[in-house]
Amino acid sequence: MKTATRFLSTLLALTLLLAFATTVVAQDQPTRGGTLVVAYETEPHSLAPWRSGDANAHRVYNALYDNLVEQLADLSIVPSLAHSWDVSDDGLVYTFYLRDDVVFHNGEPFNAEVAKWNMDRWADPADGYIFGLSTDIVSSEVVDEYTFRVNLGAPDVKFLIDVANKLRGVLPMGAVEEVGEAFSFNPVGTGPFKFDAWITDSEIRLVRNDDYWQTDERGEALPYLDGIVFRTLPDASTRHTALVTGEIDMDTIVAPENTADAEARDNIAVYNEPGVGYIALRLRSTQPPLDDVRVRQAISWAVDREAVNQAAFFELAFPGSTLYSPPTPGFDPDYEPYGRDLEKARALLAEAGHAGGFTMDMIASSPINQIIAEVLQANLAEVGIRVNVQLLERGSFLDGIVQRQHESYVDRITGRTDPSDYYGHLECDATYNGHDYCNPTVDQLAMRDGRSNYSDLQDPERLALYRETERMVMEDAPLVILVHPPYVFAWNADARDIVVTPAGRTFWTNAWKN
Amino acid sequence: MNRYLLTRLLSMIPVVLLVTLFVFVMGRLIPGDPLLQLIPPEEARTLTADQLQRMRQAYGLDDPIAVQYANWFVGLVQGDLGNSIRTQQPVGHLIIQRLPVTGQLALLSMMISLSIGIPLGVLAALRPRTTTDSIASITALIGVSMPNIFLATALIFIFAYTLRLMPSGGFVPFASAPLESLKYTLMPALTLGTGLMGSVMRITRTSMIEVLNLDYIATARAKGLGERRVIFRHALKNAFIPVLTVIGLQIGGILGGSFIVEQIFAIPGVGRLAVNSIFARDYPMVQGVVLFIALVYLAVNLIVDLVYAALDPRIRYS
Repeated sequence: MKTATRFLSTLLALTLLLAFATTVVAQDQPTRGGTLVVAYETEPHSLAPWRSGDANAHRVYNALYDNLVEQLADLSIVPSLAHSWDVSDDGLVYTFYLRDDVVFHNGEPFNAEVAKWNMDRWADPADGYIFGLSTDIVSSEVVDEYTFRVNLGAPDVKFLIDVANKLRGVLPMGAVEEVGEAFSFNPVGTGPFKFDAWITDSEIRLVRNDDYWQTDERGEALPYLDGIVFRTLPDASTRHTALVTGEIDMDTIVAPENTADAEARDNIAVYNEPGVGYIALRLRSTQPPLDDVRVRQAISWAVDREAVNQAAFFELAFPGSTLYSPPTPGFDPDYEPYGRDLEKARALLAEAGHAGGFTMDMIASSPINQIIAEVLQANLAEVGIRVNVQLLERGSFLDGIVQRQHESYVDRITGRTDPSDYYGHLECDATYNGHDYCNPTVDQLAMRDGRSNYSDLQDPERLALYRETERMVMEDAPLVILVHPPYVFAWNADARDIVVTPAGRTFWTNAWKN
Repeated sequence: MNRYLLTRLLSMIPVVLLVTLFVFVMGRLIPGDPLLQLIPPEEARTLTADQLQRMRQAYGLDDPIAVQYANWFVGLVQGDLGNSIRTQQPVGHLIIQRLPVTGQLALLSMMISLSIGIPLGVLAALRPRTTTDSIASITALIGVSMPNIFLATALIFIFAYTLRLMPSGGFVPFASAPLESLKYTLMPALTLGTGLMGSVMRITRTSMIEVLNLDYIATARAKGLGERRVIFRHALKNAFIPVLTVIGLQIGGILGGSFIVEQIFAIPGVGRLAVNSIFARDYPMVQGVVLFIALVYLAVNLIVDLVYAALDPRIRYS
């Protein structure tokens, strides 16, 4: 048996959870009661985890559902519904030991049979999960009432992270089989809060689960709050006003223009940290003149990342040209593939036969991306590239990416905690490969990860592989990384112990209101 | 009368069918894929053609358009509008859930516009080309010309952000807390009602001036009726028919305005449902909302026509 047997208690999990919480440190004892009102920009599409994977769904899932294991803010994996687990030396057999004191909100028991049923649904692409497990799962079996085993076809260091993903919230077999898709508006889990009501486009109301299995470090029942209300407020200034006036307790997406105002107020706590993800200019690398790698590199040398940061983010973002964001494992602070060098850009263009420049379309689909496109337009004009900026409605914008129609476009990706997450749109046949980029070596390197038996995600050999792959992509320059935007959350200073992770996830189990 | 009503009701059917067919085809012709919006590139770590195809099947979007319309139509006849792609909830249920919200907003804005617009119109008509008339007419002009989006933002800035008298957005159902609910709908209703107030005032003024110059008003005055009786019983009742036409048309305007106003004030009404569904390319939902709005339009038109007859005995339907 390899090292991986872990007997970390739930208590330790909680301590860690608190330790890595980048929230206001609570000086006083938590008080019970109160309802936390959390505002987000758009509501989840669905509360059935097999249907929806958006960031705001995760906020609600974290309150409704528990996973077999959880991933903390420092990316480590800790016990949850599984109090411990073993991994065989060859990395092919995972045995999960489950808690025996957990019941679902509707009274259904949680046991190995339920866990196996969930695992089988995640693994079977025909079984409804839009995003099933990418791990090659051969079979699963119930060992005894609270033990079950999963047999993998190939070792996969990402298996446990995927099991910790909130899409893998453990669901009750009976309720799901009974109501089917209607589960979305009658969700049942084992989490700290129970579903109360969903008024679409307005709010989702959750109430305290009095039978929750977790306790705090003093052995007292969790959660502390009586309930959480998730309110949909699409307009950034409406959200900010509501936070300032106390109508809501938390804004989960503070606009750059409101951040300074929030930070200046004593009664508001602000989380403002580098996020995992980036904003990039993507170039369709099969169409002349962008099919010439020198032209793409020239563009990357010509853009002013500081100016983008200033115009669109009030200098709150991290300007950088690397694929990985600073909190991502594999990020190399000494690696800077591109900076602003107009001479170099002009030389590369001349070498490619475009000394006089050329004309190019650039598509954006949100006001902030339009601002960025306009900055780039001015930057590129300096090396003779004439850019037509076009603002497209979102539906048409996405269509254009999938059909590989945009000559160049500005877009963003978020929530990438692992370096492997950065290649999803760069693989040759990926749906969202709007750059029409295809480098079989990159595809192969990114895929080799799944077949190797690394001890953990931070395995130096694994990270070295990803650094190599990153350099290959940056050299090919199908995309020009501009900035790594921060995640900015703001909340009423009386609301304590809300946990925010670098991936922008939020946890509510230990939250309380003064 | 009954025969007239029956003919009118039957004539609505082809109109409604044409509207739904038009929306169905248009919705699918414009670029955009509802499934891509469910799993946008920001969040989907990977998305393969195979995953997309499986989703298309799960949502019944891989059938030819004609088959999809036929399926929708069969459902409609059975009283089933299908499920929203975005939330998987039944379309009919979602519209019914939103109806009281938009209803409350429409009613309140109607009350605001009529209670200001009509008296102002009458006042202006009684003193044409005086300062009173000018003030009333300018008020109406401002009401008609002020864009909803500007008025809404100004109201939020003054009453929510600066004075903190009103909530900036959101909604509380009337049944759970009536006063609180009014507080949440007052600013949006004012935004919607201001434009309508202007139109009502202007048409009331014109119509009243015309009626007041008619012979029967002179007769009424000559036979010694009190001025109040002449104005409200004799003049206003007859001047009201064009006003009613404008009100009927404006109910459509209020529904249209609710698309924007509900978005700004984060009110979960039919307008917001429609806008979000259009952006999400949630075909069944858009289809359901358009069907609903078409029915409201037709019903309001019918009611207005029937009320004409009640106001003016010369109008008879047979």
